Amino acid sequence: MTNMRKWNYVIAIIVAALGIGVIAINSKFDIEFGVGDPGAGFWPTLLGGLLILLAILLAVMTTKNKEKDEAKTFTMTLPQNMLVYKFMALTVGFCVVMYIFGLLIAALIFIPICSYMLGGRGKAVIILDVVFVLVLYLAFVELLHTPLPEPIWLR
Amino acid sequence: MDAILAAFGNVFLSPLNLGGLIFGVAVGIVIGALPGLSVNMGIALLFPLTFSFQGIGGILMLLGIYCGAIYGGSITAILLKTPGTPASAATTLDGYPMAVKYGQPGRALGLSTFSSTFGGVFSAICLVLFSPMLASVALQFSKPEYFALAVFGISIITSVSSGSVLKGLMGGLVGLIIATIGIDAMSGQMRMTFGTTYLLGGLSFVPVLIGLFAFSQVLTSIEDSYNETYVKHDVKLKRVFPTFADLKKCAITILRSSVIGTVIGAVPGTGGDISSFISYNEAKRWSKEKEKFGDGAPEGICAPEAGNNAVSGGAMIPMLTLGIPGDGATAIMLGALMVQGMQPGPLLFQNQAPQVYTIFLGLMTANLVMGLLGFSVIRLFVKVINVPKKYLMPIIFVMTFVGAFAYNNSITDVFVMVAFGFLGYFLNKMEFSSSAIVIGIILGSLAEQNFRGALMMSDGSMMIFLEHPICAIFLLIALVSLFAPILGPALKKVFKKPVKQ
Repeated sequence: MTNMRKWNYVIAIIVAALGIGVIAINSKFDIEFGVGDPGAGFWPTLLGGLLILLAILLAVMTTKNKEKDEAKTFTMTLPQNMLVYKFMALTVGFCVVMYIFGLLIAALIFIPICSYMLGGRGKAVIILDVVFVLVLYLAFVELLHTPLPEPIWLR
Repeated sequence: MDAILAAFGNVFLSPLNLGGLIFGVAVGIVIGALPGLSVNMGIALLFPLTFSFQGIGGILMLLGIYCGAIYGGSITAILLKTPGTPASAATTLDGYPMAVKYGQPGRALGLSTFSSTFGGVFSAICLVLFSPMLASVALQFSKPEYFALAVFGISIITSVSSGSVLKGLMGGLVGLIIATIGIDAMSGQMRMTFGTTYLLGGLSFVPVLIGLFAFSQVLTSIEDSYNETYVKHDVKLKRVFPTFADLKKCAITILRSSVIGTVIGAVPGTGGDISSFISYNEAKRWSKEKEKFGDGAPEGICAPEAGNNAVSGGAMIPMLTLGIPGDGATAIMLGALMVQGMQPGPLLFQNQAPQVYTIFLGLMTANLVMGLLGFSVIRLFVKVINVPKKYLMPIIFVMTFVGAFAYNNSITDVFVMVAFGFLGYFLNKMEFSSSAIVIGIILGSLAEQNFRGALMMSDGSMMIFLEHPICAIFLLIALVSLFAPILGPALKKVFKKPVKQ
């Protein structure tokens, strides 16, 4: 899909589904009118309904403004997008390593990898990595007494 | 008087608070000066650091970041023709020609520093003068008025949604729905918790904020840096303090722009970018040398810079007195105040007067520190424009994890931050506004609780919202604000005069 028009239809479907989901989940709560508090289900149901309404409006407006939205090119498969997806995958890896080994070790491993992906090479990357992790430890753990995610065996 | 003395003590007699404020200003200038890093990102990223400060200290640091980042954007706008923040875009028009074409970068930066400082201090004085008055009026408010205020606050979503108003509204609704997660304060029932204890207290605001504003920005910067060639800029600065002749020439422009910036800042939904362009246009309109604008005119630098920094105090007026954020940055500040145990609104002036006066004094001091740092160590700040993204982005990447964890010491918060970071990246590409989601989350519970509270007052009659005049007026303004961007173009088409053949 390379233009905003097609994406707008996809967004409208997702948002409408979200609205229906919110209404369905909150349907177990009471909704009452004219007796004071309308109940825990009223507000989320109202918001879900409004979401569905906006989704319909987006679909209608997209159909009406066909040319305008088609003129907006929008791609998600360019090389720069691919770089971001690789970075997202790296983030998931970072989360796993951080969960097991803690933030400091994960940062020590991942900062050079991130930097390499962005074109960083040589000793400067390693020096920056070690210095930053040291500063992070001293500033947060020692100075500010702010805990960082610890390794699983220390939790 | 006691509150003022306490505020003085909070700002000047606590080395930690004053140090935090100065640190905040310095970091803010650096963040503003780095293209690709926004004011919102700076506040979101360093927000968790404030948890380490006792009481008001963290808020003072955030005020410093807020002021510093708006000013910092002018450094790259003048030297590289690349505004560090959108609020500095107008500064490039005359700042860059003065710095490069006429070889006077020091003069341009000096004018920008002076104007930014003046604009910031001016707006802080206006905040001190006008917000207690507005707060005393707002003290008469009851539940229907508070509900109307929340709806009015939510209606600014249409203004912060630059891409698509409809998608902005969708984002706002998603924010409002997120705010309903957890135990319902009125009935005690658990809503959308899906059986997890993590969601009982609602979805944590801080990881969502860091994900939407900081992590997604890292992803966008990575995308922008693809195949980008690194160019080192060698800038030599001589005199940075403006000459008396320049100041005399620009005095009226700076004053006019400060007034414009403060007024625009006080209108919810507007921001530094709008203020700087209006200030620039007004400076040009009133100038006797209009032809010099766009070619290094000193007024062309002073006007946008005074205008955008004056927004800081103006935006604080509705935020502190009514609990309505003026723009994306103040939406985050509002959340920060709430996390620190303060509830912005008219009662804040009654219940937490020392903290309010500390914010007043802190904002004024932050602007003065900004000027001092700007004139004394501007050469150091200029060097940050040469920091390559390949070193900067990995550091910010790790900092987002530190921030998300620091709030609750919860790994789940970190995962939530990552999820919202991914989501924020795609939402930004599809013309959604992250600010709209945040505004929805912040004002969601205020709107719902006061809506239901008002209905309890009236035994379920919706007429209560129309019977209270202030409530009705706010709701009407909110409706106009919400639907004007959608209905306006349609009405224009209907009433458009037919073109004569």
